[in-house]
Amino acid sequence: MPGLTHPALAPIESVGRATLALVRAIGQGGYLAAGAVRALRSTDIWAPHILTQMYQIGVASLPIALFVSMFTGIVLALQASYTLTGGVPEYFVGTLVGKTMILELGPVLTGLALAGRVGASIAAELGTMRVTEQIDALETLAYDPLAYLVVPRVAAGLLMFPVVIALAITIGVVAGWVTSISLLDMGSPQFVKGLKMFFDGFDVTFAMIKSVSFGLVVTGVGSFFGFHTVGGAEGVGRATTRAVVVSTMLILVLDAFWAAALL
Amino acid sequence: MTRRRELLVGFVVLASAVVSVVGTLWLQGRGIGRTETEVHVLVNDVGQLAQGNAVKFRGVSIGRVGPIEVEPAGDAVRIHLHLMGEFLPAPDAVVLLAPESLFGDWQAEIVIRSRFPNMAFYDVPPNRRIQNGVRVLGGFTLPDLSRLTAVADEVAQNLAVLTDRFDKAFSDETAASLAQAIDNMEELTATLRTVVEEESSQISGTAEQIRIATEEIASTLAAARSSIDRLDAVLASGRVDSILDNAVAITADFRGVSGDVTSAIDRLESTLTSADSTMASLSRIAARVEAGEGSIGKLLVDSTLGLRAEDLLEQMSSLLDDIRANPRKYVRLSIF
Repeated sequence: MPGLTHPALAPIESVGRATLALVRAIGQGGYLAAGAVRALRSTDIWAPHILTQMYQIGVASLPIALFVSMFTGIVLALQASYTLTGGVPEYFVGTLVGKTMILELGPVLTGLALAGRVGASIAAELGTMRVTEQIDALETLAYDPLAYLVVPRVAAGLLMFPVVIALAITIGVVAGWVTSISLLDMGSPQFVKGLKMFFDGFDVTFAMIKSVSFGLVVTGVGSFFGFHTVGGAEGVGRATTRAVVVSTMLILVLDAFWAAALL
Repeated sequence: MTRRRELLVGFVVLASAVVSVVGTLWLQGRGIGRTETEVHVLVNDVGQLAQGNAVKFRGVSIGRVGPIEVEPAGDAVRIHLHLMGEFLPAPDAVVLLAPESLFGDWQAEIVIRSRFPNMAFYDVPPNRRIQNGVRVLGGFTLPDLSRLTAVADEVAQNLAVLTDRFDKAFSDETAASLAQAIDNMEELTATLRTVVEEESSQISGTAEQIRIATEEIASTLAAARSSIDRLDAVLASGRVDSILDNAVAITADFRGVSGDVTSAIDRLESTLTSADSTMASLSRIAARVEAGEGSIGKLLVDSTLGLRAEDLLEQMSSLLDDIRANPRKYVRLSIF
């Protein structure tokens, strides 16, 4: 189409290119998701590997998740004490720490931390397998690569993200509690009173719903970019970066979506 | 290696599950294996009360607010209270829903109704006071801060209107009028002072006259007092008794005289009746005489008859004179 190469049409070309890339990505994502759902039937392929993935995604991620959560709880307690001055009762420190950790910071910060660790790990692993044609070899051996590589990771993410996030929330609240008692000269009953005062059982449900969705996003996006990696080692790095960036963005988008939909 | 991973994954999953479940129950104020009493409350309005708020009795937290639901008929709201241990509310127990602090947290406090006689607690019908073995209490909700704030806002608006009106009322023009009025008042006061000074001398003379009159009245009163004293002496002497006896006798005489007068009046009435009939007869006779009926009437009406009567009388007079003069002419006596 030599008549359409005019420089003035370049922006339009960019929009069209981006749109096509988006549609292509959505199509590839849908194709990957549909294939993964179909691959659920091949339990003999993915079931033996799920424990390994649960360990990698869940247990191995606990230190970073708990570390982030613990310091978040400490900072929350200190900042709440700094902010709630004047006529505001001290026990609102407990309320602020509890509500914030359960509803927002526990799931989101843990999700972001796991997006960096788990999402990047999955994208790099699958991307390397793709560029070294290991995935092609699996297909040659009539091994469903989705059942072997994607389903165990996504399933482990769905199961272990809530586990890790629940423990992270607990550690964050406990850290805030200990900080309030030891550093803020606040009594334990006061903190507990504030913690219990506005607690609603739905808060935990809300956190778990978010956790599951974050697990799906992080493992799914990591698998997607890793599975569609092209361009050798450089492509692996690019896929890893994209996986982390897109996972982070989707976590924040989902966070807003669930808040708007459920609260 | 696989066994170790299984162990770690299992431990983490179980730890997470235990922490989530136990933590949630603890934060909700529930106890595992602990005895719990459920009490229901019916109120018209729950205010800001929410599930999980504290239930208090005599200031002590004894449980948590459970589910809150509108009654099927829509006439009340039912609140489930989960109380720790075996708790038996008093027969006249009611529940007061009120803010626990100024920061939006509410509580349900179980109180005795007689402590709050002016509060309109929900009157639970006798047949609904125990439902499915659960005690149902009446409740009352205190107005929350937002309502009080709304009232305060209304008051503030009214004050603003009032202030605005004051502002308009006390404008520069009003101030000038007020200053003019004060000047007029000063002038009026000066005039009044002059008048008062002029009248004060007259008032002094009048006061002197009043003083003299007062003295005269005092002397008159003294005289009256002496008269009264004498009257007292007369009354004390007993002469009044004889006067009263005489008065009684006179009264009896008057009574007799009045009886006589009454009979005389009766007789007079009959006499008047007779006189009236006589006058009626006379009137009829007079009418007939006037009409010329009868001898007298003819005599009065017929003038010739009068003349003839006069003539007859003259003749009879002359006859009588002749008889007197010559009796033998007319009267003859013979014995034999």
